[in-house]
Amino acid sequence: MTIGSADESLKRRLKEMIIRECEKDNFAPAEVPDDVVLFSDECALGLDSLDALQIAVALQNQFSVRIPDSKSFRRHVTTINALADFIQPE
Amino acid sequence: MVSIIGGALLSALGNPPRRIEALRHGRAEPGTLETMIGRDRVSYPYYRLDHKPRPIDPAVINGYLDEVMEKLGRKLALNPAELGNCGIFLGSSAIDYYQAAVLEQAVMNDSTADIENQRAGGGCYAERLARRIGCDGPCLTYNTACTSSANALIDAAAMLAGGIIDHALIFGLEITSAMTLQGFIALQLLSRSRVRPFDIKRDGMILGEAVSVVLLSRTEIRPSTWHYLSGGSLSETYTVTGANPDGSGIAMVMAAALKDAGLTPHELTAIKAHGTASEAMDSAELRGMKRVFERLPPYFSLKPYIGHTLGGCGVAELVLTMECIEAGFIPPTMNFNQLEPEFRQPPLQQARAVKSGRFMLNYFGFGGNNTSFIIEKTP
Amino acid sequence: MIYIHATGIHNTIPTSGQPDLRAELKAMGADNRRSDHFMRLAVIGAHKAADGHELPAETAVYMTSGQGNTAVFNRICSALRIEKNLPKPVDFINLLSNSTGFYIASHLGLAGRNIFLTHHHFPVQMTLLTAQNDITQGLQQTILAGGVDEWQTRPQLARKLMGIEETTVLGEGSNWLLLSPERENALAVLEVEKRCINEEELTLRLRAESKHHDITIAFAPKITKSQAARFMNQYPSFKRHNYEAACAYYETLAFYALNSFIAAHKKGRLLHIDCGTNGYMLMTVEIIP
Repeated sequence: MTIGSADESLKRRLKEMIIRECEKDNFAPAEVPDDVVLFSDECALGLDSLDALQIAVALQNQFSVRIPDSKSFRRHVTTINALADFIQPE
Repeated sequence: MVSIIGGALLSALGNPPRRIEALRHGRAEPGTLETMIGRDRVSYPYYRLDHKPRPIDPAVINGYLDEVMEKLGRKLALNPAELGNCGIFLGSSAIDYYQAAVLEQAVMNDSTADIENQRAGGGCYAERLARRIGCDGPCLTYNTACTSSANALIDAAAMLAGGIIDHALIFGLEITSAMTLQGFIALQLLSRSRVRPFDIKRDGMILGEAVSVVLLSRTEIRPSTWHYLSGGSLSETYTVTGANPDGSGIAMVMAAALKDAGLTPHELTAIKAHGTASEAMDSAELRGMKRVFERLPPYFSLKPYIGHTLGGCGVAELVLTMECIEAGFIPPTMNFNQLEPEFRQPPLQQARAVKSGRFMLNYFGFGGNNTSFIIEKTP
Repeated sequence: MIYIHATGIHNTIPTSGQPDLRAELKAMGADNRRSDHFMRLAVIGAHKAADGHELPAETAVYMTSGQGNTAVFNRICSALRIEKNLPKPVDFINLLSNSTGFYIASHLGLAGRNIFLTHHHFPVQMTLLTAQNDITQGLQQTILAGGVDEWQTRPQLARKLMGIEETTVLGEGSNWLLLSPERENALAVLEVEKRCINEEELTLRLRAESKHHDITIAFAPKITKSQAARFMNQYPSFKRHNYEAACAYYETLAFYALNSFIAAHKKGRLLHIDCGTNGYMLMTVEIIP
């Protein structure tokens, strides 16, 4: 397996999941950048803390990734690239 | 005027003499509750009211409601059937799951075979209580998250003041359900260790069970040294998960309760805070209190004693507060050590002698639902 | 006695599944995000009652439902029990009945009291009785009071839970009234009886009502056809509000009965009769000509 940030299909699945779970239907996966911090003003998606929780549960349910608390979530889920690397380290 | 006659409570703190000792000395420990997440068995601290099994079955819930009602009857030497024009007001944040116990079975079994024209609905528990007790007033059920039974109490008092009823029995109900526990896990709101309200190191709430009841009467019919003075109930739409962090919504509801009672902030003897030990909500509450009170009266949180009993806490914490004051004190906030630098006045850390006065009780919940009511104890 | 300033009616008889309300909600300028069918229904009905009125921010929302948001309950239940997954945070929050009130308040810019209450037999009457008392006591100045019930995706099960016949057609609705103590510009006067009455008291009441002119009666679904026919024969001067022709069954239909009368009449008095195990519950609406 390749490292997550180099795995385009994994990153596409992650973007689709985020759009679906956060009900940001007016965005296409291609419009979600790989290297912009998701929970910041620079990210056009405009996600809030409830979106973060929604994503955390989806990661657990759909990608079998356990993220124990909000602090470690913020540490791992910064950008799409970082998230992909966290899910698939190699 | 509205008299508060008395209350009864089933909670993790045990019977009245035991809980008075626990509250006086600041001693309580949660137990644990296990649940399955995927294939993992996980354990969370939890305040259970007993160790019997807890199927979500209407019979179990009815059993606790009857038990707490019997306790009240014994304590007040009261025959509830004699109350006559009495309303029933029940508050619970989980009433939807309890009513849907039958539905859940059907979803699981994918069958409707075991339901024999058994009308289900959110109001069925209150309806059964009214029939059993023999009340012929209205019987309403409230679900406004953590303010459910506080809102039920505010409406009961309004109906007493309006002369619609002569007496009101207000119930707070919260019984363990896997759904509630899992929901709070998903929201990452739970502590894995202790409830530390208002402390800089607080890391979340611990849930608990409570079934409680309080009797209110029109003062002309039944006098008491306890009175309900006023209530505020407002909402804010900053976020569906709670209050505006700047405390503005919380300040508004406390100000509304004070105004309705015709009191100034310094006329309060003490405040029963909501104090869940949630990181965001405790700061919002401290900021809200700062906006209303130049100098805060002593304040305390009861969550370290019985846990966060959600929709049940409105009545459960009223009963505990009244019991403490009748025993001559207001309780310390357990597990508190240090405030964040932005705040100045810590919660009460040692029991303080108080026998009478005016007390504000605050409750805040999901959906931006905020309530505050004021009661009075005359010597 | 309180005054009705506006009605909001959303009433449909779905034939296959819950209708998609997203476009309608969007046209009202409301956000669909994080809401589900039950919540959309609620916001649409409340919007219709509020439309054209400048509601003060302290306007209260008093909402009721017969069966509540059963769809979200089913979703969480299957996540938990069948897929063995954690519930989605948004679903869990939406399960709390008052989250629906939150979205109404957000859409209409309200910060007043926001409650969700239910009653086993008379959800509508008890909600309106609470509103009537709070307005009479001066505790509230403006209340949006409404009932919301969604079409049940498992109709056979739902009929059993509601205790109705297997052939009853199910509908859905979100019906709201804007209430205040002000007579000026009001459409009608509302009066909710404070308690249940027995058969004898009902007879006395009907006899007294029959002395009024222009009385119309609406019967709740729990009043049987033969019972309704008996009342109508006994008091030939009464007209019948035949609202049933335009709706199917849901538990907060009483709101629709009142609203549809007000919407269709320029004058007259409506007496709404419902029954439960403790007797009859009455509401009257008198149109202000």
